[in-house]
Amino acid sequence: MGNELYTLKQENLKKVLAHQEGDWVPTLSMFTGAAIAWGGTTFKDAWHDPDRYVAAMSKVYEDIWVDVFQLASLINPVDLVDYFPQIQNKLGPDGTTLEHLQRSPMEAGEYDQLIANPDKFVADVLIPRMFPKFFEDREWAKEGVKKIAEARAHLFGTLTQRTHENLKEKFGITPIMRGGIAFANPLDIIFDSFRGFRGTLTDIRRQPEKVKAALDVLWENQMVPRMKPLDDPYPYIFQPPHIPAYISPKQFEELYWPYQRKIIEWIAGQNSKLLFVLEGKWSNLLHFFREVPKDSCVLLVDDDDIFEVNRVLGDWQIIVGGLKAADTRFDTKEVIIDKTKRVLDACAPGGGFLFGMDKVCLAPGDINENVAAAYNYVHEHGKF
Amino acid sequence: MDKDNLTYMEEVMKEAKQDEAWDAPEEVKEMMGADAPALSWIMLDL
Repeated sequence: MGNELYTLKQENLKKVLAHQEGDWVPTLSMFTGAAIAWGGTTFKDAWHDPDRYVAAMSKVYEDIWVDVFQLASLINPVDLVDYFPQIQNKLGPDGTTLEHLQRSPMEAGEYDQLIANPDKFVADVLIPRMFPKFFEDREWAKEGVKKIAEARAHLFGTLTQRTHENLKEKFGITPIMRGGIAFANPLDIIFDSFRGFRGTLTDIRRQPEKVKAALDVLWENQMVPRMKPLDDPYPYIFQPPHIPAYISPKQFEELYWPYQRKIIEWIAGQNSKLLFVLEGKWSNLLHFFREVPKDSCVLLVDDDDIFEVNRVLGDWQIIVGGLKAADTRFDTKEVIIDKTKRVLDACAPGGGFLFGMDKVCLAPGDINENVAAAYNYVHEHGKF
Repeated sequence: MDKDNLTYMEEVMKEAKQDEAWDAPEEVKEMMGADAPALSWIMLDL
């Protein structure tokens, strides 16, 4: 059953991702914590029981039609918090909802060290600042690297891999996102890993030349080595942009887009597509995606109006979205279906559109009866 | 600390991998990162 469904779903998906009308409008899911809650347990309780984890994470697909997923598992080895209490990604009190407590370990006056040698700067300055014991107690450090390896292997090699295998076998669903690699714009690296929200936005204004020099160095150090020829154009490489929603169009054009254009053009040169989240609002930046090759991006719409994104880019890039998580909490089922129908009428014709949500379903309740109603409506009524 | 941190981290990784008390397959051990810079970037984003 799974293999037949897999073939059907993939053939349909292939057409839609090539900007053609398939047999139906595909649905894309991003179900993590909400999925394990739907399955009746928590990440904390299922972490050491792979069978339980896989069964719980798969349950939602018995109830909701999904063609392809971006996420179907946790992405952070959260059990490391017992050994490294200062880590940024940990489970909340409910044992399921992932909490990200951003640390900004770099100081404003350290750009010269970063520019001189990013690897040495991270190892000599930032890691000792975040994990001082690692350099004070060699035996503790040895146990620490073992725990990092074991936690990552357990999450990616056991829990996630087995969940993916089960979803393919039972439901014919596979990831649209390539495992083992992600791209990052250099400005997002500074924002996410070094200076945080306030620090980065201040640095852009107060020391723009240093920021620009750091971006060039990070591009060479972090991005160029990842740009190795792809053996297969599908699944797609994922990139989660975080800072663009907070900078001006001018700053975006000067500091973000030059690297972003290079990433997208490289991906297009591999005959692949970049899976890219339009995190926050991008309404004044959408036109940039007309400057890169047609169908080189799969854009996951977040806070923008899906009709506006479709109007500006619907003929040029692949668009994913249409269901707002907040609406599913407050609207009636009838209103949700009505909104879904209007999205299909506007975005589906011509292909190049996948129905999905604006947010990752992280917490219990993010998947609810309205989500199920919308996804199943799309599959039943979204025929070309 | 006298040693360069990347050298220290490389040594720690090597000693952990060679620890006979650590009964883990190679593919698990590889998840600590390919080298010291890789490990340091993994730790930065934990």
